[in-house]
Amino acid sequence: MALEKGQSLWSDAWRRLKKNRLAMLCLGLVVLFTLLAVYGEMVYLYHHAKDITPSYQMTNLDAAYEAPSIRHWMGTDGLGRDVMARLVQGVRIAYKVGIITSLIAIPIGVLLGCLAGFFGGKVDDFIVWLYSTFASMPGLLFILAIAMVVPDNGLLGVYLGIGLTTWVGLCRLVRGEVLKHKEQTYVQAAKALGIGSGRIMFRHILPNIMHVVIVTFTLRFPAAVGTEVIMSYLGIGVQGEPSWGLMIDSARMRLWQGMWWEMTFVTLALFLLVLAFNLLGDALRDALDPRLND
Amino acid sequence: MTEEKNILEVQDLSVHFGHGEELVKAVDEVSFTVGRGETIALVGESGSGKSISALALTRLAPRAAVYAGGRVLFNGSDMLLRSERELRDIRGSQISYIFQEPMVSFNPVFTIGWQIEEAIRLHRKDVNVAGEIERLLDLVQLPERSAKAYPHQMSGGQLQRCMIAMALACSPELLVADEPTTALDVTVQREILNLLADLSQKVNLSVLMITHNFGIVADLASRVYVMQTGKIVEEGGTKQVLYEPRHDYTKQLMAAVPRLHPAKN
Repeated sequence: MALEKGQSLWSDAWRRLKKNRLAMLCLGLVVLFTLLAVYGEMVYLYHHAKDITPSYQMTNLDAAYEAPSIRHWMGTDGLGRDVMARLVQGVRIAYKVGIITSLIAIPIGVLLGCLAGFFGGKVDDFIVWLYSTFASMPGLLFILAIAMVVPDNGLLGVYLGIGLTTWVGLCRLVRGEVLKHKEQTYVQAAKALGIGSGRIMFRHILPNIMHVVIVTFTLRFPAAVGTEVIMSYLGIGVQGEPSWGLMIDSARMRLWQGMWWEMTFVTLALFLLVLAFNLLGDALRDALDPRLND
Repeated sequence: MTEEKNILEVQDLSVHFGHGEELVKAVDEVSFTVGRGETIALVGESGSGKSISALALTRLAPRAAVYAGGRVLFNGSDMLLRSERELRDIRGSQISYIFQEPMVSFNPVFTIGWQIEEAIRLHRKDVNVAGEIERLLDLVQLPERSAKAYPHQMSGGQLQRCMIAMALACSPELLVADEPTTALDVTVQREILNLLADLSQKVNLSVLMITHNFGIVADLASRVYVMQTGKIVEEGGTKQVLYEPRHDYTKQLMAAVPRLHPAKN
């Protein structure tokens, strides 16, 4: 019998992704950012545990507004702090926001989407009503409202604000996919074997639509980072930590005096992160689509 | 419970869709029986209600279906009165199905072995799963390494064998084969039918065969029910129905079977 060498959906996708040079470049960038984030977290935890002020928080007014040099590759800010060190901490914050908001939004979106699509009827009506309500509110205002209600001023508000409002798109997608899959013969066959609804939903249908979830993750991650930057810039996000939004906010004050470096490097980092994730997401979508089989 | 003579007795089963003006009687007061170890066939064209009848045995018909009347006695107890929970225990372990299109009846992201294993674990505890998978694959004459394959790597015939292996994983008493060979080419059809015939002997399985093709009924079924627009129009022993069809519809169905040498008369 004609048995090719073990080719699952995922190894197929990986093979297709490898052929896409741009996607591999983006993947490299994403890996680089991830390593920076891990490094940043380690630095943060180290200083936190020892209870000493980390270098990126150390003010040195004598060294304020230094242009990029060998000593400070990306210059220093108004308080004489090294921009590069703060930028790396910014990666850490951005990743925390991207990952934790995903951990809130994706399970909500997947769970509600599965329930709505699979059971239909009243359950579906309720969930569609719920996400329509969420979708009808202007996103940023909603996020700001939640962030202001959360007592802890800082990251928790950002996590909850973004996490609780951005599950709608995924929920819609998952619902549609589940609606499509539950009519397929393999689901009928699973029912005929006596498999229960929960298991059919999460063990049989979900793995088939996992690519939707993964692509959504790569696209919503940079969106969440962008939202956090805007929130911090507006002063209702991160406080006391070097978030990119705060850095942009502080850099804008002196931009007209020719202090270009802080603004440039922070926006460049943000730009590269968002671009890399988006392009990778697009490439993944193509790679995971079995209809585009080459 | 006393041992019933017939494993399955369907009495005046009616399944309707829609209501009022739009009412469709997909299955209209249908009665048939399957004896222990017996193979019977339900024959009819597409849309005659034979598949819905089969699915209705364990209340698997589409959600919109209304079970309007009748009884489905399996081992003497009425399936239509059972709870969903009880039916789930019966499906797969006592009544198993195989479907028309093996190519889409498997979950595309899992290996065959994974899916057979799931079928085994569903209704049986404490068994040597690896050994069981091997036994089942052997039963349907597939090599052991098939377990590692993904569905898209196998042919329709191989997949239908896997489907049968899954259906038999929990030693059901009744196998409902809904057009098991329609999607397969002719030589493979023959193999699958022989396999089914063998197995029903070997494990004393009752089979309800659903088909539109009189050609495959002859060797397999001991009795035949002919269905048209939701009603059973003719029933009897296979030979009797094949050689002396009484109903016009039966004659038409038989005439529709392609022949290499057209009948002389």
